[in-house]
Amino acid sequence: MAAAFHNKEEDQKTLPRTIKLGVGIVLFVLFVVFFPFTWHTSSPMVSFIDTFYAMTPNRCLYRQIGPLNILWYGYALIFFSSLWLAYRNRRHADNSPRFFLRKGLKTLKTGAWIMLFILTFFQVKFQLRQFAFEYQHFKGEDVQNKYAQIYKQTYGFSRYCHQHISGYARARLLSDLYLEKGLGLFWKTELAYFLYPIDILKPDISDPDVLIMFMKDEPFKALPPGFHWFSPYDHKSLMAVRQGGRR
Amino acid sequence: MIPGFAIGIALFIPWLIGSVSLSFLFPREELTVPAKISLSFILGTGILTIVMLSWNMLGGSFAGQGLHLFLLGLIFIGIIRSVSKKRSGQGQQGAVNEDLVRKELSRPSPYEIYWEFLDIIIILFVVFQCVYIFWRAFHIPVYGFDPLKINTLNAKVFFFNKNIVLPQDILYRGYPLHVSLLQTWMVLNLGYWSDQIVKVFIPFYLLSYIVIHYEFVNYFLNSRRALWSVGLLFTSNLFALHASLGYMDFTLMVYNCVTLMMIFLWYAEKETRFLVLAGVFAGISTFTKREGMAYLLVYGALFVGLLFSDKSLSGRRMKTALNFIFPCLGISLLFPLFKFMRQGMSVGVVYELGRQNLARIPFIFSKLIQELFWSGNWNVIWSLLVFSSFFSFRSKIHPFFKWFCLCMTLFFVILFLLFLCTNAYIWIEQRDTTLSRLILHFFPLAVLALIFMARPQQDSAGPQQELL
Repeated sequence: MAAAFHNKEEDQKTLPRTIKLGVGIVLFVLFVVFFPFTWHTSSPMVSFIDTFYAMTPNRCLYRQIGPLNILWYGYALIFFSSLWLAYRNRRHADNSPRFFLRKGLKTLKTGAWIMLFILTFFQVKFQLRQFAFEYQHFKGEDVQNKYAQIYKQTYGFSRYCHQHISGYARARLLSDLYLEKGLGLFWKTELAYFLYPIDILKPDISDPDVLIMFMKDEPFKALPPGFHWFSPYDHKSLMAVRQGGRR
Repeated sequence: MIPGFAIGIALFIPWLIGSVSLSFLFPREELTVPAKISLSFILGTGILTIVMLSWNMLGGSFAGQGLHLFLLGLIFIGIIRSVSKKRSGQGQQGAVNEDLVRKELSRPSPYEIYWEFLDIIIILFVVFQCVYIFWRAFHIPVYGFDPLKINTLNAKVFFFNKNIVLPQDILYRGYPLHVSLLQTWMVLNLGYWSDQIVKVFIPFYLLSYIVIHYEFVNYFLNSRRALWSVGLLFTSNLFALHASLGYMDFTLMVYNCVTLMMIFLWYAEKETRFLVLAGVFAGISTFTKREGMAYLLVYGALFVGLLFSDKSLSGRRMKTALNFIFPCLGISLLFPLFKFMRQGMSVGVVYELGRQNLARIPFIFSKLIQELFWSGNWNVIWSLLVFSSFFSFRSKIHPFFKWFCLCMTLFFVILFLLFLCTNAYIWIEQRDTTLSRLILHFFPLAVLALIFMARPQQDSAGPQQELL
């Protein structure tokens, strides 16, 4: 792409050097980016790289080093570098505050660019580690096994329910968890998604075909008459259906 | 159906719809091939979901092959009309491509070789990011609260009911359905529900977006800056992450930014067809996420600003404006009409006006500053933008820079007012889950502003001199 910017004469002069340096740089980049695979996960370098990335769908975080986020150290470094450079140039002929300001801001900008490259470099390293981890865990697995790893609490239970019932069913979820906030809300959301077409989305359903007992102490005692239960998933979770079939 | 073939069909049909629709606006070979392919995809997916909604409004169901036949019929008619239009030469005259000729460097810089190495590294970086994002999108099933609660859950309900059934929960009933319907479309083609395949279209949005972003920068500046700007996009962790997730935010970001780009292209080219396209994309963005409706204010302000800054348009401003307003409003009103027909009234954010809200101001500011400069979402892009703005000289700044800044300011004002005057405040006060995703919707503008801040040094005459 950038070659389009050259004229041919210039290309002829620079090509061998370009190739040499290009190969060198590519090898260097490959060496640096793939090196983390050989590191042990408990090594200090891996812990250091992990400070550059921690991701959730809502935000990515730089972890703390000591009391502060890693960006604080970067900003402090470039800020003091600009002050120092401005101070070093104090004997410049144009000894005006405007000159110092310009010099300082230029250094800040250059420092921020350098910081961008350093952060990106470590992010790529982290992403490679993450890629290797995800590849190991998710390669070739079917979706059930992948979900079983991501949603340990709810996915297994929803599979248990689907083994006993197929097709659409109106269901009510009973649980000792507080389902409107926090972990309870998350688990209810996950269950609602994984269980569908066993439908627990309708609130306050009066005559359900199916009862879903999830994380409920002594679930058998909470079972109303007229429901037949299946062998429980665990001692706090089971599913029951209305005797005589669904309505 | 074989999954690979089904995915291919599911992606090809919307692309074809987009391509045919685009050929009405650009009947000759005015757009570059990558730009046309990319625009076709994002336009086609938007039109597809609008057609799905309209089809359902008219009583059609997603069962059987009715929807497919209807779509193929539309495509067939579109192709015939497009060909006849091309033959009769009714298309608008204009040769955008000729104006897009890149300005080559008059003389190579002595440091050219180092810049080329940087280019190679950026290309490797972008390729790695794309490979990783595609891998994640194709191998990790849909996860996260929003997809499981809103869009993918909707898609699952639509798929099993073969119909659009609005959610029971009044809080989530008002969410626009573009992503949900697109996910439904993916599995309808597959024939069975797959938590994996419902989100494989997301990285194609990424690919389309980076091509359009590249072409946009390349058009106004040069290919090197275009490459750098694509590289800068990927330095943001959140951008790269969301390109592989099943959230609605990335899709909204694509439509939001492409709308703005089309408005800028209209301003530069004085071609109303870019304005029509901007109107369509603006409408689709309102159908992607609720925030899209608020963003109409930004498009409107930018459009009016550009309209009145151009003296050559005086006397035909209203006529020009209608090219934007009609498609935009037409599409924007469709989903509210659908909700009205289904009596699906919903609760969105609730206004909480009062003097006590003023106490929120310091907290909102601190959250914004923390998010922009101290989070791991954006690398140091926002800091770079601030530092560079201080250092830039007025004479060197590209004329579009001020418009990018205006748009970003308006987006921030909308966010600020949202948290100040509504109950959305709890999203940053208690949950801290939303702000980063809201900023993602217009994050590429920061990259564009950074790239457009300095005039290309070695371009003796860029298009900006001719156009602006």
